[in-house]
Amino acid sequence: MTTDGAPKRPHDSSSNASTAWIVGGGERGPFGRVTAAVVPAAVVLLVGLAVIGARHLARARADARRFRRLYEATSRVGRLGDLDVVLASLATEAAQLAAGTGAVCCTVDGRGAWWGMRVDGSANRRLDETAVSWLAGQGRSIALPADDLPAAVRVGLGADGALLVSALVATDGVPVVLAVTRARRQHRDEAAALEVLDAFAATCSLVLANARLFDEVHDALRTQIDLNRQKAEFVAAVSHELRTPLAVVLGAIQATRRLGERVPVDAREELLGTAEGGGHRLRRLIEDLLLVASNEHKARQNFVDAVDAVGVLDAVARECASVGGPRCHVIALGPLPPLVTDVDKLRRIVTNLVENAGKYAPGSTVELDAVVEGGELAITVADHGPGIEPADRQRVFEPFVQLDQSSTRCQGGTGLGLHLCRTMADVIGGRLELADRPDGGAGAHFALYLPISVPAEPAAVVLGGHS
Amino acid sequence: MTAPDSTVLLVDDDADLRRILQFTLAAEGYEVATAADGDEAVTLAGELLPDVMVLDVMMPGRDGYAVLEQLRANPATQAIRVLMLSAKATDDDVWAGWRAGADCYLTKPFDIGEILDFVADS
Repeated sequence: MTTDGAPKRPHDSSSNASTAWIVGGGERGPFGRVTAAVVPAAVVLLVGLAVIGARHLARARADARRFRRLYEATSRVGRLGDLDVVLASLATEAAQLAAGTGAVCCTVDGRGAWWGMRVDGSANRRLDETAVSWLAGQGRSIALPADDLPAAVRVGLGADGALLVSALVATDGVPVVLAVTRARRQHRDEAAALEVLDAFAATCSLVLANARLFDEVHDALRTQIDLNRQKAEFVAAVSHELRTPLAVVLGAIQATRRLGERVPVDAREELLGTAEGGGHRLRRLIEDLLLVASNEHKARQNFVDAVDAVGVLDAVARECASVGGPRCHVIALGPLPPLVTDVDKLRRIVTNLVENAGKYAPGSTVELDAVVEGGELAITVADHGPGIEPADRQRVFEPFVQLDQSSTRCQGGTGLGLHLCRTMADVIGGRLELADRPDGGAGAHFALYLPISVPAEPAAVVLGGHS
Repeated sequence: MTAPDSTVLLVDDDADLRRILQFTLAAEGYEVATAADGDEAVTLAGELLPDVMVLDVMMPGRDGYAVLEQLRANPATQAIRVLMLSAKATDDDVWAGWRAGADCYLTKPFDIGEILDFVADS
């Protein structure tokens, strides 16, 4: 203000109509001055807030959209099916969620091996080994350009521009790795997309855990149904097998009584002898059946101890000689690696095999041997008889199968001998196989393979058999 | 009534059973022939033309049903009276036997009196 009271014109005289009122503050009262100072600031503030608000709103809307898509994707993948179908549908959802051109979903199978399915466009295919191992090794969520990938992995994943990887390696859940391929990098979007993928990966883990459980239950049920059917068949077969020897016993006795004095003494003796023979057949059958039943019982007990394989073979050969059985020749000599198993069952298996050889290869010497083969001890029983045709080699182990009915019936065969041997072998943790003679000659060659182990403690009672 | 000198053909793969039935029927005065399997049964049936056949079902090679089918298809052997004897004892098995053309179906173990009655009635 000058002393003569005239308004002083400002240096910045831009003569802007809008600013004249603001800067010409001298003509206004105190209220006007405050207003003039505050309003511009307020306008700037309001504009700023509007801009920030708009940005927040846009982001909130985008988040809401993503959450909705995630929710929809989650509800779509609830269905169970074959695991490769489940993985493919999970990958498809992941691709949509992260706006990708294709996607991959990998997980771990029952044996701990990684595998995955890749979808792009409409084609679903199994992911190749290289790509799977690379993804499995990531262990974290990351976005990277396709160029940074090893060439083989690039091809395997079909990655062109960029790759988003989301890895969920939960220790108490099913590990999952999702990977989405994009045509090019979109830096702004990547963090958000990875966040969505991570959330979705948790869902995938749950879905896969469910699918696996469903598979396991389905398999267990099928096995149970199968076992039930086998049991029913076995019971029917047993009933059938028991009838014929019973008919012999009853028929012979009935005939003897009915014919009475019309039957000469020697003929009567013969009839009664036949009746007795039938009774013995029944007894052997029942004994074998009880053995089969007890072997199939859940709580199968093995009395496990250190066993001298050669000693067992020698004992069987001696016993055979003493009851007038087939001639046995023990080829094996010690020392052999220690064998830990149930000696009674082992002896019974070998004895059964030797008796079998006596029936089907009468007159032939039976060779008993024990050799180490590929980390196992192979105990073999071989003869020089007619042998068993390759076509029949699995059948002979089935219950009640007798390849040569007439001769075995005469010698009291029950058709259960080999079935029993195989079941017992299973119980002691070994396996019984039938093969050609290694020297190419005619004859049957049975081999019982047992694991070689170092004895821990003597005479332990162990629950046996394979689970 | 079958005259005591009529022929009976016994078919069963079990030697003991064949022996018992043969013995009993022979003691009752019948002519008895035996066969141990289906093929032998068909051949002997054609040759001997027995009045009665006692036929087992479960045999190696041709089973009892196949033998019966052959017999019924051949005009010469069509009229042979057949008693089926089997360890197969479910209702389905019995029905199958009747349907195949058996004149009688007995399950093992059997009552020897029933067999003798059948042979006598033939």
